[in-house]
Amino acid sequence: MSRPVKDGTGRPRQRRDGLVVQPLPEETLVYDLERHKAHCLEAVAAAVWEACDGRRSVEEIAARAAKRVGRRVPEEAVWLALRRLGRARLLEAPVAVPAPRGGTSRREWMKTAAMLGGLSVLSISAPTAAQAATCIAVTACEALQNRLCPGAPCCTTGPNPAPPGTVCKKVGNQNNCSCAP
Amino acid sequence: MRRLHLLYADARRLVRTAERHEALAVLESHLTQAVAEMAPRRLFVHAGVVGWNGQAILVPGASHAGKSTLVAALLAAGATYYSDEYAVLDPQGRVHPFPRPLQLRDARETATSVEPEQLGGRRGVGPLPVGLVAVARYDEGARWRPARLSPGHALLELLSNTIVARSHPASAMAMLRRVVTRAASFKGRRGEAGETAAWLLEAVG
Repeated sequence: MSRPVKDGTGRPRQRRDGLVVQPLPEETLVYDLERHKAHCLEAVAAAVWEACDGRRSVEEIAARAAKRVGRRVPEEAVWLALRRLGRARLLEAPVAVPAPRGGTSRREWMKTAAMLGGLSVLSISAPTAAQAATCIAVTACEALQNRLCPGAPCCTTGPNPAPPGTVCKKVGNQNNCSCAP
Repeated sequence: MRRLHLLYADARRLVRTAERHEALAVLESHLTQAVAEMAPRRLFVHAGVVGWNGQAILVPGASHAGKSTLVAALLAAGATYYSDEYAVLDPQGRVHPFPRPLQLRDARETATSVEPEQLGGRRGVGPLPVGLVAVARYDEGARWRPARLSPGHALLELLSNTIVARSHPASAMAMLRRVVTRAASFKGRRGEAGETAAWLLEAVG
């Protein structure tokens, strides 16, 4: 059974350029050098991704992935994995998931597929060096009396982010510290 | 005449202040950051670290996540001090000491430097393999009921606190792989630090 994808070939292709791949025993880590995002592919999602060579149909991908993970992988699970991989920009072109057959809704269809497990694609944005360093929150900085200003970088993330490149310091004749360049 | 302290990194001004301690604090912060970014064959992950029974416990997290408080509780329970700021990893996935004084904050967020010996702890001297990774964010009143993390999810947690995650992702992921394939990893919200510390030490055995 072959179903259409957005690129029109019905044979999704794994993106290769600009990625760093780190395999783990049951998962695969992928780092996107262009978007600075890291993705963790669970076992079935990783097997589907590796099988996307631009030549195999979804049916063939399901068979290949099943062999890799050692259990049956239905085509619904492949479609769900392809949708998630496409959203993570790990395919050359995103896939269009076909309408389900037999009167079930797409939501139910995807829910059933998700219950099979191993299909998660968890993504994070990699931090810049400054984001990963020790910092002081703006509110914490502004709560300090000016004789106690630590001079530490102010946090650029969180609910009240400071402008990049600012430090917690005494500014003018203010009684309290401020995040300032 | 007003005396000012100026600090530059190349042509970029880092600080201009009349307070000497502010200038020195910025210098220390900048030097630490530079070492973390440029150290060859070492990976700096923002984390608290203690040693226990020949293994390291890593507590990764951003500033103000409660790392230092949890490290202090672990020291009070008998653990060995490695760091409250950076886990310094080598290519074998072992963690090395980065034993600056702990920075403990009070309710007003004022930081105080505390030597580990003041908390009943000892300083670690050699590298340790990582036995446990605990992502423990402080949430007042929460009970520590952590969920187990898969190696892949644990690697993402560590990478999101890694200084060179963007500049050297391949080598960072390779080093972190060594950690997560060996260590057990957990994530949860914690309340009182002593309860969590006791759980972590028990988990490492």
